[in-house]
Amino acid sequence: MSDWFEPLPAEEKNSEFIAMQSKTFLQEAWERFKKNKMAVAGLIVLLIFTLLAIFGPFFSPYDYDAQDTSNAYAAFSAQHLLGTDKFGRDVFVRLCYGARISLLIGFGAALINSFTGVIIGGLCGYIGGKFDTIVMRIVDIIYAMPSMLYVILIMMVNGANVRSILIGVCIPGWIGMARQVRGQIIGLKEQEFALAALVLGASDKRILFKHLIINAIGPIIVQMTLLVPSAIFTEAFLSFIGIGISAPMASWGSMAQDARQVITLHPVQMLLPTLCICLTIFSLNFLGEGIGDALNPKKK
Amino acid sequence: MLRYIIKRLLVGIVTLWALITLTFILVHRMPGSPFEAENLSGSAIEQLEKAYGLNEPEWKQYLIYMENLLHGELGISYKKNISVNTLIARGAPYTIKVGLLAFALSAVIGITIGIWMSVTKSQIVKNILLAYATLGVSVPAFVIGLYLMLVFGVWLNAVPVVGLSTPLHYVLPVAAQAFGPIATIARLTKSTYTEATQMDYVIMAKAKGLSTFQIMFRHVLKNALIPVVTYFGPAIAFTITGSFVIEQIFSIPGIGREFTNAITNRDYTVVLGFSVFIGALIIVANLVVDILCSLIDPRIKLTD
Repeated sequence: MSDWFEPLPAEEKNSEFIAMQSKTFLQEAWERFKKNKMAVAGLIVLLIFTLLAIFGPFFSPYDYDAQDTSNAYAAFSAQHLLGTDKFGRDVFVRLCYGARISLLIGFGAALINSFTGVIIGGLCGYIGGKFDTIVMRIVDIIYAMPSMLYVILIMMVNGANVRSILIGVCIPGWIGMARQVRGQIIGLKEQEFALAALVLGASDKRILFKHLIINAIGPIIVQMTLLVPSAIFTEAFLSFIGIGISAPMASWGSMAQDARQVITLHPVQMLLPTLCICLTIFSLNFLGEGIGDALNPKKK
Repeated sequence: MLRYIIKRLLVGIVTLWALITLTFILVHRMPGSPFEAENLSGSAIEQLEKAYGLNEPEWKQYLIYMENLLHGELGISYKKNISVNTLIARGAPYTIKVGLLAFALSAVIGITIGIWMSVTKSQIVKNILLAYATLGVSVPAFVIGLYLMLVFGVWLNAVPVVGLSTPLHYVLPVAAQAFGPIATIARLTKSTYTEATQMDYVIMAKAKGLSTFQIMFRHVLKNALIPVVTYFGPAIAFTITGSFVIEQIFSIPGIGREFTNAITNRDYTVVLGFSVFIGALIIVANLVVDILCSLIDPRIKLTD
């Protein structure tokens, strides 16, 4: 009798079970992101620039301001990977320092602006009423003022350094984020889960930060990716017109300005820094688009 | 409708006042006396400061400045002993000519490319236009200016690159100024146009048997172009800040170059005067565009 039945082998036991392995939101977003080739390429280029910015100067025997006028405008060689500039300074090292400044300003500004924007936008959306009206009027006024002008003025008051550029970029920079978050929160706070949290006795702080802002994280990240290139744009622009990062420190914008005078004789001097600026902004734009699509699959 | 316009005007006026005050405060915080660089003795500097009213308390200087502004006086350059009004009057024609040309060019070409991107069936054309639209928003104006100068001015030697003496001189600066806005307007038009063609009222218009021409102009374009017109405000600001670099690259004696020169020379009153002037220009332009939009499209005031 006992041989009439035999136990099912282990692997057959679950063979009818067809549930997909469950994935978190971020895992799914990552899967979608990986399918976007341009975005992945952008990410790789940015990683390379970041590595060069951090470690590049350590691997080069030259300093950004080490002059060697007997060796000005040297061609590409083993000693000077990307040649030298008008004072015989190593272009590769200077580009690495330029990357440091650009990325520092880009990501620094994006972080500060996102933080300010999320807090102010979140509070305005959640509290509403008079507070919201007053803050939004102030926002309108800051937004209507041409930001490039007071960035320039702040640079002139505080001196040409990374800190002044960051201050200048961050005064108007949070407004887009604040408006975006405010809109999201106004929509989200009417939804059932917010009411449920309220009924369960959650504090305002908890509802705003743990429920509402977390649910708006997709648009927040997308907005954040837009902030990075605009800050890098501003730095390059300021350094190009001569009030950004001051000499002898290297910035891509100021290197392009230096190269302008020798554009006919040494076009390569201009090619390298401008290529770095464009590649970085390109990568950031593609990366931003990829992240936006990955986080928001319904959009298309 | 009137309420909306009045509200926008009020915000505009407060913004202008805030801009002037902020600029004034910042300029007066700038390190050093404006006469320091000229190798003058201490007493000579004091005398000059007295002559220009710089020894007065700051609030009094502010009041005097505001009063002068209301009379249309933007101040006097300490370095060149020339009024800021004269400097602006001298530079404005060049900046306006290049700016307006670039602006018109970017509106016409941008909208055309945008619609083309939306209607074309050819994948190749679509990709080329998309590549341009991406390139245009990723490359700063000064980089475009430098490359246009290098390729067309130096290597091909096809067009002159210094000054604005003949119509041919306008080609490169205008192209450099318009390159970015064309791409932005094209992207914007593409998305609004695609959206507008899918609207129910367009299907309705087709079902009624309206001609393609009527559908295009009365129903699709009218709705598609409103967001594009809204962008014209920021585009004017972009064109003006763009002139700072473009005029430097192509040696055009316009407002942008005067402003950057004043910055490098630390000519504070000129920086102050130009900031106020340029800022006011941008604020007024934005205001006009906003009010125009609300007149074209009555729906706008409802969302605000």
